[in-house]
Amino acid sequence: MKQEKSFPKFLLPMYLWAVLLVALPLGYFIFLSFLKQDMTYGFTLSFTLDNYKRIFSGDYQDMMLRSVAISGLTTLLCFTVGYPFSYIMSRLSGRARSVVMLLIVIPFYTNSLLRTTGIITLLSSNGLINTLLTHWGWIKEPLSLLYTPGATVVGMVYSLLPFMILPCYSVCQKLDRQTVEAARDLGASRVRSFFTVTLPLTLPGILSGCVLTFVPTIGMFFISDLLGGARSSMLGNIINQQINGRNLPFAAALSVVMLAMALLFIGIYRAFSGKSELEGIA
Amino acid sequence: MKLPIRKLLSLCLLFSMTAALLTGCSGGKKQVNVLTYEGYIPDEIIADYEARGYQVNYTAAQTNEQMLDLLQAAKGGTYDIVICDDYIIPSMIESQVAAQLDYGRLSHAENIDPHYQSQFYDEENLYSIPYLAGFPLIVYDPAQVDFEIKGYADLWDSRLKNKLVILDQYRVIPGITLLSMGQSMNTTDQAVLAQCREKLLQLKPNVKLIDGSTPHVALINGDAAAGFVFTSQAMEVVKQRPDFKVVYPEEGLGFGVSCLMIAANAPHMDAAYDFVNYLLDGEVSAKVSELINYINCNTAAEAYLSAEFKANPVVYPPDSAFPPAAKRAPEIIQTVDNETNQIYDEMWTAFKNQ
Repeated sequence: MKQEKSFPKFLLPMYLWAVLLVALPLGYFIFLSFLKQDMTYGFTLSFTLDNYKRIFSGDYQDMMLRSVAISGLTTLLCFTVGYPFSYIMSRLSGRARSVVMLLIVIPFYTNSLLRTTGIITLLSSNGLINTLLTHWGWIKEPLSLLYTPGATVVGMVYSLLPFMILPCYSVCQKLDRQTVEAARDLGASRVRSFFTVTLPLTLPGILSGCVLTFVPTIGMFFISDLLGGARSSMLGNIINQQINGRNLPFAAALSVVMLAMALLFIGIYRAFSGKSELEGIA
Repeated sequence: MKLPIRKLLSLCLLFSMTAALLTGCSGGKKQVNVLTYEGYIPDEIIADYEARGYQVNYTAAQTNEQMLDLLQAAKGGTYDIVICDDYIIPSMIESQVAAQLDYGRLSHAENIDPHYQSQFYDEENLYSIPYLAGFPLIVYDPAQVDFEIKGYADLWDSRLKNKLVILDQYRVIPGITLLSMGQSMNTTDQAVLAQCREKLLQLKPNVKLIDGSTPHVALINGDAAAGFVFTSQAMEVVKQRPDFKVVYPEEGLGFGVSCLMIAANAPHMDAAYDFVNYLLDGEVSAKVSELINYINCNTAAEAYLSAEFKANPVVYPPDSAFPPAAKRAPEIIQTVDNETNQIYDEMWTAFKNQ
């Protein structure tokens, strides 16, 4: 962003909006995270560090590790599918490219809860996949697909793929083909030119895509509730559960931890890419 | 070139956001704002009531806690009527978001079945009117479960490995764990609760799915073979899969009453009483029960309930579900003190975390 010398007054409402809807709530939940729970009023005004002690007490280590593992796997799969996809898409002709772009974006006009329910009808014991496989005689008993960690990951990858594709596409499109051609002319193989030229040049997009898929995955509670059967909670599930159980201070403390994790990953992104804003969305 | 577009966009955004604040203002019909679970007042009933010249604005909440939050945030205003479950009522009363009922304005007060009144949450019936009641039950598919389930204890049987669906309720599931140990669902005894936590954690390998809103769907679809679900969900299962068996746990039933309350600062107090009176009408009340399959709490509804509904063993469990055949009388989950509540909450979190 450009640094303006005089403060543009007409942007004032936007700043006001940001203070009211971003800064204040943020301050509120950080404040809340140091209070005690109360069944009737949600919290009492007595200062405590218990919420943070509880998070780091060991009971929640498995959940944290699981959250990071599922998010990591989701990010990896999104990259494996999304990167080649964006690369090929960037080399399509203008018309084909806009059609493909439209095909990626259109499903996301639908409510994500509905799309997740759609996956349930595919994976369920009497769902499409099991019905077809049984019909063709490939299996006798329906496969247990739904309510497994695998189903959670499938749902996450499906929901977050565009967040990997769009930034990767943005860098692939900007990639100067001549640099790749120069490498090839100088005798580098396809593989070598990819690893020495294409990959480093598109790295900011990949890193940005990784941040954009990894960070939301940790907080996406409804997918692991609906597809994973809510059996193995992730950080987002625990927060949601604490809000429903009216332990607002503990939910707030968990949210602070989640925010810290998100900031950490954005920090890593900045350090590696040398950019301050995420590629492909600014 | 870049800045003007940004400015324009931000202006557009600002206008649209401000406009969003102003929506929802409407005039004309008399309004009544209702806060409760999704579908808890059947659409048909709302349509019938709206035909009398009212507009019902329905806010669907997922949990009792959410209703309490919304009412507290509105300082007992915004909403006119709330229908919530027993154990949350003391919190509603204590935080002054529920209005004291003016029995002079309740034209059908005599229809309220005293059997469901004067409970722990509102002993003098100053704030709440029983709306519906129910017993959560175990249901299972005998084709997939090769032994007879008789009570909660059987849910721990290793033959049910990865086959069970349970409610996402942090007091209910520890509650049936306690019942399976012969203890009360509302125990505050720390030693008993520690044993309960151990036992609850052992249930996990059998659990395929924890679902707070539609656990019956997994049973109907064949994704789970046995489940512990609310009355109307159990009813839905046996309606669609008549081969399923319903179990009245031998350790004793859990029981719940949901109640109608009027918000302390209801913006449409007259409409609120009018709607409550409408819901207390025998014929309307009977219709509500039959549509969503819960026990009726209205004496005047008796004449309108079909013989078939009254004989429905899922909604009205047989004598064998109660003492002396069962070990305990049905028990309602009650509010416990903050410390004990935290123990229940922590064991449920640990259970889900496992």
